[in-house]
Amino acid sequence: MHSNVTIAALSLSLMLGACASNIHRNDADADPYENMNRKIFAFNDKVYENIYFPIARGYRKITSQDVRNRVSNFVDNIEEPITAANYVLQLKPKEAGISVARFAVNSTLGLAGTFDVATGWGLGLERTNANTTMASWCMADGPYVVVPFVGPGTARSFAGMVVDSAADPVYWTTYKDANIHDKATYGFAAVKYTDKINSLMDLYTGFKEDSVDLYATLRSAYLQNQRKLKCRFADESDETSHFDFDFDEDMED
Amino acid sequence: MKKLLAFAAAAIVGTFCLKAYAELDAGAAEKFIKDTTSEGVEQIINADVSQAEKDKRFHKLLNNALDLDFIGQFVLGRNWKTATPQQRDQFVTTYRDLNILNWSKRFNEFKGKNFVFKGTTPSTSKGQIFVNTVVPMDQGEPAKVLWRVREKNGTYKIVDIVIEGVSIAQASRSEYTAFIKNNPGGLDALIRDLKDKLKKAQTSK
Repeated sequence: MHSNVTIAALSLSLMLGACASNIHRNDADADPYENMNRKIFAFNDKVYENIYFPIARGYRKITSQDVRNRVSNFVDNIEEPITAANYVLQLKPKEAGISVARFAVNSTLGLAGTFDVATGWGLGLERTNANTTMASWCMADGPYVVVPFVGPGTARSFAGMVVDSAADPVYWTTYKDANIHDKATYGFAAVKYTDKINSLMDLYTGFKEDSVDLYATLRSAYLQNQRKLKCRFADESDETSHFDFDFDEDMED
Repeated sequence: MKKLLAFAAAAIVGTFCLKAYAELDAGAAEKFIKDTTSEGVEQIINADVSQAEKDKRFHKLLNNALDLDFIGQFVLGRNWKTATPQQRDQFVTTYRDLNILNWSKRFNEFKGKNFVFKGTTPSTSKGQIFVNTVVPMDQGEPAKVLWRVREKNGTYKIVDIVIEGVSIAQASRSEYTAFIKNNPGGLDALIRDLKDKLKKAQTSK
């Protein structure tokens, strides 16, 4: 089941990606389904405000910052093998090695990953994912889409999300034991998404307060983040190329 | 005669090279950001003074450090060209005041943190350079913060801040362009909306 989903996701990404250029100078150009996306975005906003954020606020009420830090570390550690595998696929052995070492150190000395001991040893957290791996192999990002209950992404990033979930270590380490498989998979997913929503809630609320068009602001932030992902065959020397356009354009100085 | 011409040509080229170097003095740009961030963190965020005094100091610091007239023009994009002088004036004034308030708020998030300087990166735009910094966070990866610095008449000003690959100026430009395009009131409606936000931000302080 997992591998079928992965293949379908990759095919979808290739199909959609082939229709689009990797670099859209204008955010609106990357968003051919803007009307529909805006409607889903408005729906998602209601979901965040009425379901997700109350859960995150409840979580904050019953936990201290220290407990939340331990939970974040635990989630990061469980996902570390996915990071390591993606670094291997990106042909980055040094980063893959650091990731493996982090997993070994934090899983043991870090008490099942709840303490990030490895960072103190100079093995800092550097996350990566299947979306970045596909980008590194020059796969185009495809159109910008907003998915109900999930949020914004591109065809490639959603395909990446499916690939990463298919590699979920919790799934593969428990699938032989039917008694704990579902509990472990759903339990970890609940913890993981509560942690993610908790870390994103303030950022979203801040953007909402400051922006006159929240949809456009978040689209720009998301697409800028995608553009910084480099294709391994492109010129890597210019790290700032995705935001270093002609700043004097349209200016009367 | 040939030697004299070659010498003259070399002198002219040399003068241009010196000028280009003077325009992009990486050390001076980095020092400017070091001074600005240390003033912001040490003398304002971490200082034991009243909030009113902090606000006053922030206003002065950001007014001096950010080139808000330049940023204001940039974020309006093509709409700047079609705007009337009155609209331009109103937009820049409102944008300036609103941003000073918003940036004070953002700077506060760096309480107890420090900027680690990682050199500079050249920009393709004339007289500009990126100063690279990272901010170690309590949890997870350190945040990458790039400061786009513009030199004009020997003075350095910040024209953009790129946090984790997201340019604030570009995001604002995209936001305002979309607002003007989708709103029948156009630029006037944008100015009205920004004034409302400013009023709200001032009263909620």
